[in-house]
This record gives sequence, structure tokens and C-alpha cells, in this order.
Amino acid sequence: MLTTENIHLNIGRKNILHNVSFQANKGELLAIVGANGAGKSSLLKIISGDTSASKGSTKLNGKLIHQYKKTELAKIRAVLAQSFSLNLSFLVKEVVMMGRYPHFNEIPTSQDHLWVEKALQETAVYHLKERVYTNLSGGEKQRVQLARVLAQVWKEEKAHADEKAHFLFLDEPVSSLDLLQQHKTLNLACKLKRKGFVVIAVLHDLNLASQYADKILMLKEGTVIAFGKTRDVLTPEHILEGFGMPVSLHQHPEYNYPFIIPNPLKQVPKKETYKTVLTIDN
Amino acid sequence: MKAPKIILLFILSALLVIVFIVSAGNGALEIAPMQVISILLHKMGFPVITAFEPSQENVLWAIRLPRVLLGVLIGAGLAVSGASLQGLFRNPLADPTLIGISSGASLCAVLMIVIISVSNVFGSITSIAGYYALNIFTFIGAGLAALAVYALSRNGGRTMVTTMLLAGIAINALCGALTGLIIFYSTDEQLRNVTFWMLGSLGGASWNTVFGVLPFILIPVLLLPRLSKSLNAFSLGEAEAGHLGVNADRLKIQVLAFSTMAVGASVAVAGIIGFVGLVIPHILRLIAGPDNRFLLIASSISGAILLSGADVISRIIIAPAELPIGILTSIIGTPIFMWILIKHQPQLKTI
Repeated sequence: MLTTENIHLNIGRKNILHNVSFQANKGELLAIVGANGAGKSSLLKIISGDTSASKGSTKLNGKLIHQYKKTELAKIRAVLAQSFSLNLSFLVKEVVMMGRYPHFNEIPTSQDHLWVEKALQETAVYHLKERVYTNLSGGEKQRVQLARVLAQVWKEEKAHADEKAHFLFLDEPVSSLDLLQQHKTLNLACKLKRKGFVVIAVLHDLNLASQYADKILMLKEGTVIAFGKTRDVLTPEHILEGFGMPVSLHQHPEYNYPFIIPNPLKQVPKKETYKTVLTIDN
Repeated sequence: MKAPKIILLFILSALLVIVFIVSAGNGALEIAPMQVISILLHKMGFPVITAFEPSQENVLWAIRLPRVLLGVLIGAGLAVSGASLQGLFRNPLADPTLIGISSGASLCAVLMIVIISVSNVFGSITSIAGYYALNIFTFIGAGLAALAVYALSRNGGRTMVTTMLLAGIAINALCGALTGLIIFYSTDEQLRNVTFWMLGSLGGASWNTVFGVLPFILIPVLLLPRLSKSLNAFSLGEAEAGHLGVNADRLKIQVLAFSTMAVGASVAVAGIIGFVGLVIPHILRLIAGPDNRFLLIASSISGAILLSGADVISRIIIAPAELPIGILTSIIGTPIFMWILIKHQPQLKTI
């Protein structure tokens, strides 16, 4: 379980996050959505322990994040960043093995090798395992990195009710993937949540959020404008407030989630538009 | 580590032993390889296998052995520092000479030589205490230069390669200018000492020099490989290494401290010997990939081979005169450096 309480983040005089509180339970996929500069990535950095909040607390499984040792945290929490800067010619399998680093000292065990193979298969990059990472395409690199992150925290059995949750934080995990891979990746995230993970993903595509997320946290200028069940948060009113974009929701009888269709030509009250334009410029 | 890599390490070690023996036997007074082995065994109290002259024993023990050992130490130190710094900067171009670490050390050495001849605090520079003092001073100079380049070239967790190389040029220029200034204001005797030191070769090797640098190079050579797994994780990025449980700040300090310690010590006794830290790791990466768990150990051994081998060549190529070893390593290193530049051109902007 992940709980944050009243998180504030100030960088210089700038208020990046203001009073952010939310909770994500074992077996849930929570999507963080919001316009550019809403503070999504900063929030993800705080809950993954990269930066400390100016105020407020983050608890993983009831324990404050800064009370964990780095190595201890690395065994239960993995983070997939937005961009990667690896530029040494490691092989794909070596990159994925790095995910197992927190689990062995000098020599990887057969179990470590097994997880690496498994992660490579799950992310459909097994055929690339002997290739040099730096020669891959952007999408392939992203999947290899996903495999590394999976290898880090993957566990086989469905968690028992009393077992501690593992955490997977994804910062725009589908940004450079094609349509099929986007859905494969998010399906994988769903598979993990069913294994008892807490999955938190920053998503840009509201339709993907609508389809896959159990809960949504919508941010605007560092404050929470809506938090709760996907259906309750993804309403035209909230989306207009958060993104400055009029949308309409459509329910297809064969799908149990609504589709969000942007409607830029729809008239919005003048004042509202003006305010939004300013926000985007900021 | 996989079997081929372990075999490669054995081959390199065997090669080092061969180069060591050949290098020790080569010179005005020839000592055959078997005689070298016999003398060494004899010194350790074993029975003699091949006959040798007492003069051979004396030359080997007093002149050759310290020189070869010094070459081995300095080569290993420079190569392992280069490889580790490349891991830290996350860039294959981070060579101690290119980014100004060596010239920072050199400036401090020159300053030290002048101070010693003025104050005579440390006694003679050729005593072990003198070498220790010199080593600590060059370590400080190397460390300051490394910190400056590192701070300048980092931008939001990434190393800007162009900034790193430009910062290196700036530091090299500044240290060169300051060295010039010191020389300008030095007396004739100081000038003589400084010039003698700046020629930079393994020629002045004695047991005092060897023991003077031994701890400063042995510590990095033994401890840097222990950081190799963390350095691998670090290549993913600073934040990513943190997610894998690596304490990035501690890693940076350790790598900077150990590698500048080795570079400082090598500059203190042998002057600036360029490109060893660039060439060796680069060739090894081409052969066996960038895994630091192999790279750092193999770099130490190969650096030792390269430098003691280059020392033999520098002694015989224009015999009876001696070519400064730095010239030789630069002649080998520059084409390789250019090759890396061309190969990395497309990604040189921000890697």
C-alpha cells in the first residue's frame, strides 16, 4: 500500500506540488494525469524516493520512504523513467540483468537468470537478448528498460493477503511505443497489479487511462483537482478544468469503459478559455 | 563473469609476467629470461636454476626491478583510473590527461618541487617521505581538477561531452599557464629540478620511488574493481542507479578519490603519461564489452603490460639514449583517440 499525506514541493520560490494526498492499494493501477507541467513527474520522483518533499510524507507498506535503506527499497520498488541515457554498448541481456543487481552480490544465481529470461519474454524482447542495447530503436529500448524494471521486482505467485506489496512506478511508459506495444505494456502492468503490485503510471493518453486504470489522480498546477475511481474522475468537467479542453464521453455497449473524444470546437465560457491559455503558456 | 572473460584475464596475466621478465632482462647488461627468474628465486631463498653473474644480480635488483615495477604500477593505476572515470562520466572519452586531471597534478608537483627547494621542509624529494608528500600534493591537484571538470560538465544528471572536453581544455590551459608562471619566477636550481621532473620518464626509478607510490596506486587498483557493479548500474543514469540501490553520491566520491589518487601518484613520479587511461579501456571494451566487472580488472593488467612494454621499446628504440615514455604512449594513443571521436560523432552532443 502506498500512502502520501499533504505533499508539498517547493523549488526555489516556485510551488511545484501543493498538498497532494492520495492512496493506492495492493492490486490497483493508479494513473496520474494532468497537463504538461502539472507536477506529475515531480510527484513520481517523490514517491519513488528520488527527491524529498518539502513537506508531507510518503509511506510504502506503512513505513516512511526515507526510513528504508536504498538496497532494501530496490528489492520492492522499481521505476521506469521517461528517458534513458545508457550509451555504453551493453548487451540487452546484460541491461536486464542490472535489474537483478539488488538481489545478488557478485555472481547472479540461476534464479536471477530465470527472472531475466522471464522479463525478456514478458516484454517481447527475448529475440533481442544478444543484441547491443545502443543499436536498438527507441521503442525497443523502452521495452528492454521495462524488462529490466520487471526483472527487478517480479515475483511469481499471487500475493497472499498479508504479504507486503511490491511497487512499480512508470513515468509515461508508452510514450515511444506503437499501438500494439502500448496495450501490451499496459496489459503487463495489469498482470502485475493482479500479482499484488501497486502500479502507478503517469499517462498522457486519457483513453488509455480510462481503459486500464482503477484509480486516477488528476493534477493541475501542482494541486489535486480530482482523485478517485476512474469513472468518477474522468468526467468532462474535470477534464475541462485540468486540461482546458472540452471533451465528450461516449460509452460503447461492448466496452465497460467510456471513450473520451476531444471537442476543440465546442464553445467554452470566455473566462475559462483565457485562464487556460495562460496556464499552458506557463 | 563468463568463462571466455576469465580465460582472457589469465592470458593477460600470463602476458604481464612475460613482459615483466623480458623488460627486466633488457638493457645495456643483458640478463636472459631464465636468469631473471633464477635471480628472483634466489632472492626469495630458492635454489638457483640457471647460473648468473653477481653483477647481473646487482643490476637487476637495484636498477631494473624498481623500474619495471614502477612501470607496472603506473600503467595499472592509469588504466584503472581511466576506466573508472569513464564509468563515472558515463563516457568513453574521459581520460585523465584529456580532462585536465593530470595537469592539475602536474601543477601541484611543480609547485611542490619549488617549495621544497625553498624551504627544505620535507628533506630531499627523493626520500620516501618526500615522495609521500609529493603524492599527497599531486592528489590534491588531481582531485581539484577532477571536481571542477565534473561539476562543469554535469547538467541535470547527464554529462555534456562537449562541456567535459572544453572544461578539460580550460583546466589544461590554466594549469599550463600557472606552471609557466612558477617556472618564470623560479631560480636556476629550481628550474633545473622542475625541468628534470617534467621530462617524465621511468628513468629515475628506485626502490624509494616504488615504495613512495605503492600505497597510492595499490589502494585504487584493489578497491576500484569493487565498485564495478555500481558503475554498471550508474551507466543507466544517476536516478536509475539510485533505484537499483546504489548510493550515487558515495560512488562518485569514491571513484573520484581513488582514480585521482592513482593519477596523482603516477604524475608525481613519472610526469604526464598520456592516453593509457583512454586506449586500454577502449580496446578492452571492443573485445569484451563494457561490463565494468571485467573491464576494471582487465584494465589494470593491460595497463601494466602496455606501460612496461612501452618502457622496453623506449629504451631500445634509440639506444643508448632513451625516448621519454609519454611520447610513445601519445603516439599510440592519439590515433585511437581520433578514432573514438569519429565513431562517436553522431552522439557527441549530449551523451
